[in-house]
Amino acid sequence: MRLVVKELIFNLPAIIVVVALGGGIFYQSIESVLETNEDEVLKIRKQYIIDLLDNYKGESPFIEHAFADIYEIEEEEALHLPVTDVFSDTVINNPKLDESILYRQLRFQYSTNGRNYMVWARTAEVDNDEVLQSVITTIVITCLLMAVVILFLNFYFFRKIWMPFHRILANLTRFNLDGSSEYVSAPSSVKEFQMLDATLREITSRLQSEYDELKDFTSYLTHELQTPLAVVSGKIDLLIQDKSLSEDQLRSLVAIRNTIQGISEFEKTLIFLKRIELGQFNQMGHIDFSATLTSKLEQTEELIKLKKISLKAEIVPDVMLDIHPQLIDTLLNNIISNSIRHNIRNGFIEVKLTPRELKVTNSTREVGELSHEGADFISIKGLGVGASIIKAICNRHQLNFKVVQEDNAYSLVIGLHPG
Amino acid sequence: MSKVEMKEVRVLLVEDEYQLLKAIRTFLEEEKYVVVAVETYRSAQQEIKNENYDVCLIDINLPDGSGNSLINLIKSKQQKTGIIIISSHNMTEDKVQSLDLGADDYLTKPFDLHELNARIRSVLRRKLGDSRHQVVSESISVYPNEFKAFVHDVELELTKKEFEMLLYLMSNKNRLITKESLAAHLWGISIEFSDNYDYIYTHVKNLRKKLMNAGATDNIKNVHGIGYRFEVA
Repeated sequence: MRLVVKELIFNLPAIIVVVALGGGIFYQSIESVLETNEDEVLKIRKQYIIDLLDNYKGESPFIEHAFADIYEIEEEEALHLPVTDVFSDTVINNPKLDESILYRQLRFQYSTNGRNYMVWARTAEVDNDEVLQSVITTIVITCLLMAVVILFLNFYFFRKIWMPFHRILANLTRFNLDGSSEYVSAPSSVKEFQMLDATLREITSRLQSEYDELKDFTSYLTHELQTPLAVVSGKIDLLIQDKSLSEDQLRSLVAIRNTIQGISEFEKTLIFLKRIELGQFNQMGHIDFSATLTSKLEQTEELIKLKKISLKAEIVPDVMLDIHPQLIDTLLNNIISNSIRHNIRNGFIEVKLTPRELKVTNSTREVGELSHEGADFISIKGLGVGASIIKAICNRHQLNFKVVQEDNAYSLVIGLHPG
Repeated sequence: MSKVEMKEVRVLLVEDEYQLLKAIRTFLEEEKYVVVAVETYRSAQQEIKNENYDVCLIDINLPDGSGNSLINLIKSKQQKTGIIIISSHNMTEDKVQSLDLGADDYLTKPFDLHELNARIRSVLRRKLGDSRHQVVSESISVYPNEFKAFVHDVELELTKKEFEMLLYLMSNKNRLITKESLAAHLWGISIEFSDNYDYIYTHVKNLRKKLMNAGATDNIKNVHGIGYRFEVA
């Protein structure tokens, strides 16, 4: 998820909540102000009606008035009614408009010139629902406007601010230890980005230097070891042609030659492992795993048959895998080699490839030497560096790799989806 | 006699490790090649400029230069010269780099001298004209490019592996070829599989049977169960 999207996900709900709370508070205060204002109006009207009643000389017990109902009441009745002012809300039907109208009213008693009056002074009230609707509309419009502004800021303004960061990130992604692409500095006027760039420049430079030294060292080591081995090997090749040598002498020479070959291959494997660890295999290819595996099995089919091993393969076509081409080759070579080398006469190899996993099971007499139960990777005596290479390649591509022990057989299982 | 040996084959060997140079030179001279061996880049440059060679065996790591640079020099002088790189580096990119520059083959140290001999002959066959492709030994004729083998005029029905085995043994006639060397050459498998070579015995047995049934003498000798020798007078 991009930083700008993440920022929006965090910001937008917070803004909506804040604006909604503000709207609620605003609504409460408007309602309170309007109510207070209506009561003040009624109090003023009360004073006006009192003045009117003080000067009233008419005989009618009902006095017509535009914003009040005024009734004359008997003294005895007046004694039983409350004397305090009472504010309340009421709805009165207006026959002219043919609609019900909400009113705020003040009921009070007043006695003057020996007469008692009961008065209902009224004023039309503002409808709360209308106020609420208006506030909600305002909030929604405000939220929408804010969203538009935030989006604009994020995609145009903040994007510009974060541009150096994205440049640094792109340069770092392109950086490759094999020397094909070095880290390129990304200038910026922002101090934090300048610091980040400088730190990365220093780290990548140090990494490159260490990597080059190690690469030179491994190259030197290989040359210095393999050349003397080649000398010994060459001398033995000459010696074994001597027809005067006894069978024992010949066997000893062949054994020495085989040992030399073993040391040579072991060193090459260690160097290969080191190269994987150093991340030298960065160029990924979109590989047809099904086709590659089928081809590998075809290449080794004869050897498998010669070893009196039966082969059963179930390969789902078109299984694709993103992996370095040389590593897939090495991976399959080692898996198949292991399954042949650790097999038994008249044994079996079962290869099953699905889009989810590769499972290679082979018969063996080496079961029961698992290092510990439940481990992601279980070392089996004899699997040696071949298994280390499989593990290293799987780790390099974040593929799950495990060894499952069964009756007189074990299975190498590789999950094909990076875990 | 193999027809490719009828002409004197000149080999330039460039290797800075003297003991290895000596071993290779001795082996190749026993195979009747004319070998000029040098230990430095500068000496190799001089040789390439002054002489013509059929095959150049070049080590990449030389004290005063890279063997890869010599490839261009050889190619600019004589296109037909076969170039085999001998190097301690076995990484694909190293091989690709040398082959892209024009090398014909790449052999990783330590290598079997018989394998080197087989590669030299293979390069020579590719570089020489069609008429030189035939490898003949007594009554047996092998045509590597056509994948055909004859005893007198009778064509043999050989499997691919039997054919390659015959060619390898004939290319290293009168030499003891160990089972390990045969396995590595034919199946490209390493010492890790050395527990049992029964399958090689089976292949050799089948090959001998086919040769003898076609009227050839039994040239392939088992040497103490260690390996085989294609013996010719």
